[in-house]
Amino acid sequence: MGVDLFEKRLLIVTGKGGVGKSVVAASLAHLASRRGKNVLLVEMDTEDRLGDLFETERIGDRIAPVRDNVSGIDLSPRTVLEDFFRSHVRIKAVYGPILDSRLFNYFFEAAPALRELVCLGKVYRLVEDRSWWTSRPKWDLVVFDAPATGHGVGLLNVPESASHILLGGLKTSALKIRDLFRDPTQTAISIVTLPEEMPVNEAELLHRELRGHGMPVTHLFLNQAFPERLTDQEASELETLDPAELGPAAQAAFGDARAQAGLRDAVRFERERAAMTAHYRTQIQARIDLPVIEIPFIFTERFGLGEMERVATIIEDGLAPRRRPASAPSQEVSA
Amino acid sequence: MSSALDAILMGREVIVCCGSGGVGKTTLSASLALRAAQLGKKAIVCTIDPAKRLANALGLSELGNDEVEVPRSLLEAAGLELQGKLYALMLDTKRNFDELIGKVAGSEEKKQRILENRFYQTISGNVVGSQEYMAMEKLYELHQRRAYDVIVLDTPPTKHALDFLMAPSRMTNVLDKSVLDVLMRPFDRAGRLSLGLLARAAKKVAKKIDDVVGLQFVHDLSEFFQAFEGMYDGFRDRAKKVNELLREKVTAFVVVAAPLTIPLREAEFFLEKLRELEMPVAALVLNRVQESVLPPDAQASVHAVVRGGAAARARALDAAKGAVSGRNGLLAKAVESLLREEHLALADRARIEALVRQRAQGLIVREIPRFGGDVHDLSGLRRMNEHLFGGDTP
Repeated sequence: MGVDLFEKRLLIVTGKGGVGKSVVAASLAHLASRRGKNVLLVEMDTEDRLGDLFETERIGDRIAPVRDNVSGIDLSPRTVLEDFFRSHVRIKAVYGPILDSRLFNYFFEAAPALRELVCLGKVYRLVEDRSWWTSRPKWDLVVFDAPATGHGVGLLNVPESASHILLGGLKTSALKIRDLFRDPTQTAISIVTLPEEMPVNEAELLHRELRGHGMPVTHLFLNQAFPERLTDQEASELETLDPAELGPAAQAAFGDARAQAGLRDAVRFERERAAMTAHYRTQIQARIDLPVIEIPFIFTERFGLGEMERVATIIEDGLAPRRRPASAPSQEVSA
Repeated sequence: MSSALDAILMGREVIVCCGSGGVGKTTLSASLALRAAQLGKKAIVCTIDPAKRLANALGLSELGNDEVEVPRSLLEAAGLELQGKLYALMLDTKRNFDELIGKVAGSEEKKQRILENRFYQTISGNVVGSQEYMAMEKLYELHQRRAYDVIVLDTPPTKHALDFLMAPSRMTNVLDKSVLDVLMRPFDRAGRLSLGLLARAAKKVAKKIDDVVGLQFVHDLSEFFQAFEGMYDGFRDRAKKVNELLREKVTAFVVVAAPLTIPLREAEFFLEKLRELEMPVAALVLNRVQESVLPPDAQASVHAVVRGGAAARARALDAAKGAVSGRNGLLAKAVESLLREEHLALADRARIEALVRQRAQGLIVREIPRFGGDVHDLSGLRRMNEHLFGGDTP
């Protein structure tokens, strides 16, 4: 696997809602920044996960520095479209009424995927943006946290499907965006999933469809994985253990021997979770032909900068040339 | 004794389950329909995108949109005896849209013209909102037909709660007659621009839109609206009726969430919005809740350590290692498992309590614990129902 993610220009992180895309996207941006890259992290219409993760102020629809070499923007389709009109029409007396008109708003609602296309166009321009002074790219790397739509592949395939019904200038733009997304020298796409039935099914579908559309999917992130902490032998030993032995352990740890009542159930539940992770790990290996990077479940009250950096380190390890199989979590995360 | 949720199933005709994706909405919808059938109702669950195993459990094949009775054999195998009947339906947005056009078109020729239109083909399958809209439309149709006592609707996973609730009015807006008029004016029958008819600024708008979306789109669109002429009123009436049905007393909304930050935030927003729109919310169901594994009298000491942060936890582990000889490694591992499980339980509890305190006044609140695996079969549904309905057998 010779793919060096940080040599690309655009990293797209995608997957179903709630699987932890933002965390993976933020971690990748953070890792790139540690390599001295100037990074722009792009979210789309989210409720400020970025601000939480980097423990900074709310990140809005204008590019703002986040931390170190990372800047961020939360694209709002409406703002992007307004900007688009502003820069093309220029005269406020003209574009003002346009933006306020029902006709315009009608199109914004009805035109197939116009909102999405406009946002992807913005991502494209951010990748292509060059400094007027040095003519070097403004951003070494753009990390795009691509929202999951009901239709999985939907969003990333908007340029392709739009190009079929568009003509003229916009068709050309749509094709350019499509080509950028398909260019393996510039772009790498990661899918994030959880060890659960629906997310794994959707990841498989997403992978198949993205590949089918010629998009360079390079990694699968299995988030919130539960490691096996006890061997089968240890577990059965614990089951047969005399409560007289459990009591003192509970007494020592918690100052309360009654807590021994929960020890076996805790291990049982934890093993069920680990078994579920193992089951879906096997499923993923059989069904999705991608290198897998596992991110263990992080025990924390609040997912902030410290936790994000831990995830970044785990991802860095997983991305490193194989010293160990990527599916074995390299880092034990303790409670 | 029947539970408060039973009363909802007995008294209402339409149950709408909503919440963000991945929280078990489909499973819950199936559970509620199953319970209604157990209570003697003829119940149907309309699902959008069930997990394959759940679909199989309900006897649904992959091709959808047909109402099928869940086979007795499957129910009996799971030890379920129904007083009533249980049906299931997998929604197919595109097909529903086509059927609806057929209903309002009036003539076969008109229907064909629309079905073949490229603009129509794009919006009927793909446009954000069409899935939501069609789910509502199907609900209305089933309710109109009066073929079922209880209809349970599993809603599509939307990015924003509002997308779903606003779908009917948004769709009517898109097809609004006055928008249509404005739209039709600049185009002549051939779909070409006739700019002379427009004021200067409006000319710019039309031209800009043309530049942006391209002529082909404008052409398809104008053709679509020509074909659609005369159908608008029928369409709007239905959307209006769907909207009304959602506000009626025969309807009950059940908001579903998992005790994680994002789904809970979404649920909070949902509850707020439903109230604002005067839609009848009946219950909040929290799915996959991690419960404490400890008996109540042993929780305080352990939870104090969990809350004490990393240092307190490390101390407890060290103490466990030093406690007994022989098996202290194993016991320390078990102690750590307990700390982890209780950590999860406490985190869930805190998040749930905050939501319930703020948004669930007057609602039925139910919690379903996290089972070892996902729920994908009828006996899993039955197990879920024990938590929803307090273990009463109907």
